[in-house]
Amino acid sequence: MKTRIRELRRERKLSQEELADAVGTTRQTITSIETGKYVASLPLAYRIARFFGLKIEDVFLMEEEEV
Amino acid sequence: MNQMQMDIEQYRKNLHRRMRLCRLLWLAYLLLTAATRFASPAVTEHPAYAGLLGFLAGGLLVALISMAKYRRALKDDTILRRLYNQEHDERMQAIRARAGIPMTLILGAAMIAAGVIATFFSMTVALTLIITALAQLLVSLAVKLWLMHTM
Repeated sequence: MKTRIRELRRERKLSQEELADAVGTTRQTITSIETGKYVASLPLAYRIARFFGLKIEDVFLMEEEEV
Repeated sequence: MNQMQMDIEQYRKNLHRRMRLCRLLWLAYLLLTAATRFASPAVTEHPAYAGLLGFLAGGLLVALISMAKYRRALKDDTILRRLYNQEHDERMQAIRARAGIPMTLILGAAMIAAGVIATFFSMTVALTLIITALAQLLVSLAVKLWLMHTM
């Protein structure tokens, strides 16, 4: 699953650590989500999307074959 | 107070409880080593006694490192929150679950304890139990490290 987290973070000049602290996770998890190694759970995806003021589908991009 | 703050406050209490448990472990070790002076050589020279002391010493080392970590966290709210996030991180929880933690740790500890008791009856059984427990713990650790790298 692709995400726009890195792009959104850079726009807001946020480090992975700062984002992790804000959404209640660790820097390593943010790294894994950004690189596509780990798929965030629904509650974490919701917290990340809410942090950026967006909807989940605007942050996490589902590809057609994944649906 | 929101849910997150309530969780953090609960976690703070939990850390205090863990600190007390670590101190208790230290006390047990000190009492056991002090008792050595009064115990008969038949007890102190038994392999089970050395095994128990070694097992406790390992536990003490972990307790000492944990106590230092908890003390730092209890003094600083940012560190406390990061430690809370670390312990409740969903990715780490998934990794631990796949590596069989905490069940392998519980089984490993139970097998080592059984191994120490078995020294009174058969050294072969005792060594088999202890070696199997250590192998099980090593496999679990290896799986955890591999998943931390790939997940």
